[in-house]
Amino acid sequence: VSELSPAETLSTHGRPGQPGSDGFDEFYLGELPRLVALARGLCASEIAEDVAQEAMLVAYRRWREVGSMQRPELWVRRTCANLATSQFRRRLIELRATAKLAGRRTPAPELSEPTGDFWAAVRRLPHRQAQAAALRFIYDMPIADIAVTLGCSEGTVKQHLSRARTALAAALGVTPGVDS
Amino acid sequence: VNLDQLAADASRELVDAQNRNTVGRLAELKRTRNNRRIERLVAVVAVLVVIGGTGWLSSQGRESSGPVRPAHRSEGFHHVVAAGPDGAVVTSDGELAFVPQDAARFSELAFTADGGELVYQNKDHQIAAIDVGTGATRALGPCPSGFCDIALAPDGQRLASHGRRDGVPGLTITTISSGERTFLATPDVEAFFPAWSPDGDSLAFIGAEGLYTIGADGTGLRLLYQVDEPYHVSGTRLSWSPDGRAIAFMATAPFVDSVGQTAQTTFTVMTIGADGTNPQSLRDLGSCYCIGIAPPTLTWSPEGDLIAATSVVSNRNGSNARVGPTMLLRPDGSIAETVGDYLGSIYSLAWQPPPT
Repeated sequence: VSELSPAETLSTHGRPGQPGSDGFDEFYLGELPRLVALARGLCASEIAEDVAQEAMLVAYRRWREVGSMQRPELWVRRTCANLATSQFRRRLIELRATAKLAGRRTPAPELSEPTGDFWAAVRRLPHRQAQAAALRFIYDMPIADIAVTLGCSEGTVKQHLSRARTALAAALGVTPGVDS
Repeated sequence: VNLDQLAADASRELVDAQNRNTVGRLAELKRTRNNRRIERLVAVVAVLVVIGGTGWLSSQGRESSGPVRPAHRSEGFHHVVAAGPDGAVVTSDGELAFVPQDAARFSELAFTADGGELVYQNKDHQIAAIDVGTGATRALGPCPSGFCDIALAPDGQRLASHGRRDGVPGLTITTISSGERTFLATPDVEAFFPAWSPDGDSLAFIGAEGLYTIGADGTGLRLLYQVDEPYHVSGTRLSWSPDGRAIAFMATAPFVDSVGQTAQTTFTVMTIGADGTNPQSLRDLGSCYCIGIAPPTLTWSPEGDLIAATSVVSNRNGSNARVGPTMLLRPDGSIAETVGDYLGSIYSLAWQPPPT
């Protein structure tokens, strides 16, 4: 659990460093797989890679600032989650993705039916509930980190998660359980 | 089955079901970033071409008329002129004077080294010079390309501008007396807004990655200063210090919201040593949603003690933008004085050398 306040966690260490991309490659390689999963959990699989890539592109453009944050991974997850759930921005990414379909890389593997149904139910949740649930499930993220990532209080996160669990359980016909 | 078990299985499968070629995706990301930088610069220039060609911006000044004035003032007077959409010239005492009636709406302006002539682009896409004392004009030849970002060499004999030959980007150097053109190739770098060094031996220009220099003989192409994201070099004129030791340019940075979308643009005057050392931000010149506003521009004073720069003014949210005062900045970025609050867009600044 992060012991830092949201502001501290997403703040930079003093002034941004010198130009360059020091550390970005390692950050990218380590963070991308689950970031794509986060995007795929929150939006259509056809554009999930592009959404995650777009979030990484923003991080790369601003790496002097983002790279000097104490938890840059939370920043890029927030950016990805917002991109994935924003209708307008997602539409822009869809257009870009459509434009390069001809040279499309290998599509991501299909999901099993239960898994596909589960994430489809997540995507039907209100945006903030979906974001909180996806961060919780994919990253096994503590409440405090979700709060930092989404820029809200821990109490709000708990509320989002509680409602998300209730709605998901009802939609999928399972018992809701208790968030541990 | 409870929700936690289902969620754990679904999350595990989702993470496992990703393409694993992250190294390839990283290379793709870097290509995309470079492509977008190039697209952005080209787009800025294209917009300027459209603006210059159609007079799209609204004119808030007076109609141009008459010759340039004043030709000279008393010693110590700052002879700053600026070209706006109506060809107006604003002088440091706040009066409006005007470039010739045939000046293009968004002409680049440059005084000759002796301050006796003002070089500009006319409405027929020709380069011309006007004698600031008599008002007599003379033609210097056609603009070398559709984007007429001409720069007059200190010897008054050569013009540099953006160019392209056989698909290779570069700079076109035109000898005024003969019309002869030579081409300085800048492979892989579109070269915009060239500016001659005071000794005429090299040029600085704006490219996709930042600020570049190249010898006047076409050798020594160098990325002098890579502008790191989120900054960009603004698509406006560069200016060398009179001693040739530094270059002033305008950097821009988008205000970025929580998901990285550009909201508005900020402008900052920067200087850098001609050898690429000591980049410095002198002063922020405002921010705006800059649609319909000519971006701030700058020029170094002939004596080298001041930099004239236009500014933008807008509401806190960036709306209702307009051109702000033209500021005369000291080397530390402090304001020595402001020279009028011209209401029209200002596209180019020139500073008349003291009479010899």
